[in-house]
Amino acid sequence: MNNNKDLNEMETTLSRVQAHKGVHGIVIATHDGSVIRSTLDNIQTQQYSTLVTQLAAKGKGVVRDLDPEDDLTFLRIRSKKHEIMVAETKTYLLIVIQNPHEL
Amino acid sequence: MSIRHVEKEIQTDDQRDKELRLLKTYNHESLATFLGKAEPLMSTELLKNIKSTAFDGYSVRWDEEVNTVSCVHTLSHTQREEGLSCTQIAWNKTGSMIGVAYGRTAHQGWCTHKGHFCAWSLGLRNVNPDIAPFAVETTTCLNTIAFHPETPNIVAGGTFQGEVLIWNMNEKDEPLVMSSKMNEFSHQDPVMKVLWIPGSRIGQYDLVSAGIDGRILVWSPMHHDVKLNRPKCGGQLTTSNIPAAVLASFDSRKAFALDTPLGVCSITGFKDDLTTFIVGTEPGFVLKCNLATAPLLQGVNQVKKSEKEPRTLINPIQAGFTPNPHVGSVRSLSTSPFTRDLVLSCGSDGIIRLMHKLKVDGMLATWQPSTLCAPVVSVAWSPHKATVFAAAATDGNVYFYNLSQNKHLPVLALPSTTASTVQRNGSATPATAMAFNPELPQLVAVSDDLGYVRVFRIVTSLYECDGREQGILNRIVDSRKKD
Repeated sequence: MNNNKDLNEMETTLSRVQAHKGVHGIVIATHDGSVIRSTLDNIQTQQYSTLVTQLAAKGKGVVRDLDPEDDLTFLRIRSKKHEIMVAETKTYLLIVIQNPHEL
Repeated sequence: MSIRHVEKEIQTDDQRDKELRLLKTYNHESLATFLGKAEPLMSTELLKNIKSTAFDGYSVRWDEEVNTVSCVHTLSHTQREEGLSCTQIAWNKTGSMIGVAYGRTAHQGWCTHKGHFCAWSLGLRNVNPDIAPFAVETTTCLNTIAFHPETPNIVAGGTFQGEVLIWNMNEKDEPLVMSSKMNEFSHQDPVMKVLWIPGSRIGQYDLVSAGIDGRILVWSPMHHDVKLNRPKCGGQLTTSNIPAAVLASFDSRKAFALDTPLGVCSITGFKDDLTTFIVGTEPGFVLKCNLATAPLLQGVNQVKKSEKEPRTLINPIQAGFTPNPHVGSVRSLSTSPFTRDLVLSCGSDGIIRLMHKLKVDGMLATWQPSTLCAPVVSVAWSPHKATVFAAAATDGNVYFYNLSQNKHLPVLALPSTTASTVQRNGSATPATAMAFNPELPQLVAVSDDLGYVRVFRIVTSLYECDGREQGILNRIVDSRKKD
């Protein structure tokens, strides 16, 4: 029962994020690259989960090395076509791909 | 190396669709708390992005910007019969090889010429522009060619006599591996276009051919029993089957009172809808056709009871675009590789039309590139930038349109001939065909009436994407809805 309530909450959270303009896809993953939930197709999900978790780990390393008391909170990569945004904590990552030109 | 045909049963699980296993065992509560913290943060950032003007006008150039067009190669196979022009050019799947079909564009009566199919490998350092490393003569003029989408050495072609041919470029001794047999179902008149479409099995492709006899035939050349002996199924367009709505806007309706074949000049398919085709005809009609209900014409191992099923070519016409898109033959059609329902058509009246597959009553846009109203013989969407397309006209120019820059006028008019080869009477040589390189976005090949193929390097703005293209195309599609 508890699980159902959590699942519903997760769905509502996802739909809140998806509602924003230009959001192409959302991937919820763990640090080792496994995927919990995704709105993209299989190939893209695999690509985003592996590549982005690696990059987030590198980014986290950079911040910690510069200041051991600091920590990574948010990572954004802007490319010609879209922007990848990553919010992460110790266990999970929330990856959102947005096309900011689609207005 | 010879071709071996092997029949193999494999699982439906193929490499392209690996099973993605989602993590099921996780701590739901901790995920919920994570999302509770992460989501507001994410939403604020997303909103900031939408409102932000920080990156307006900020563009990064990783490659060197090219502002001028230069001619990289000029190719012409001198060992072919004289007087032949290029009827069609095509790049192979990897963009390293360019294939040229030689034939005459106008015939007085019966065709007594010998066509040619030549291919140059442009990746090599020593490209001999006068002699093609691969050249094959055909019995009559070659009208159209198409490279196989997966196997780069297989090429299909269609000739003036109605033959459909397949070459394997790796076979040095006898490259022609299959040719269609003349029977009641094959083409009786020139084949105008061949194209490959995905077949029933993954990795297998069927060949579609369309001709002046009004037939659209689907062949399964990879089926080793049949090859090109008989088409798999097909449709026949006749004047009596033209939709009434299409004829209503046509002036001389009496010409279509008899039941005669309706000549097909061009055809294009859709990646996600394998049985629907948009067909361009000689009088200027553009029709939407569907071959899903066409009965199979093959049947070596058919049981007796299915003999009752008539083996015929069906009427494939579903609908016609109104008002009539063109006056005179529709020379070429092209489906957008990005927005799957958009189709461009061009015709002998010098006009380019943009149509939507699902909206048959009305055009989305119209362009007339040449001030002389010169017939536009070839039109193609760029495979790299969604808002770019190009059209080759008989006034010798290839017109490039970039809807991101200018929705009405071409941004580049490229003369297909260089100054040294202008015809003696001063008029430019007509351009006959053009093709975008599928792998190298900066290369475009253009052929002309004298039999020369030129590969040009085009300006960066015609292939560099900035993420806005899809939005622009969507706006063009939606603007029509307001009418």
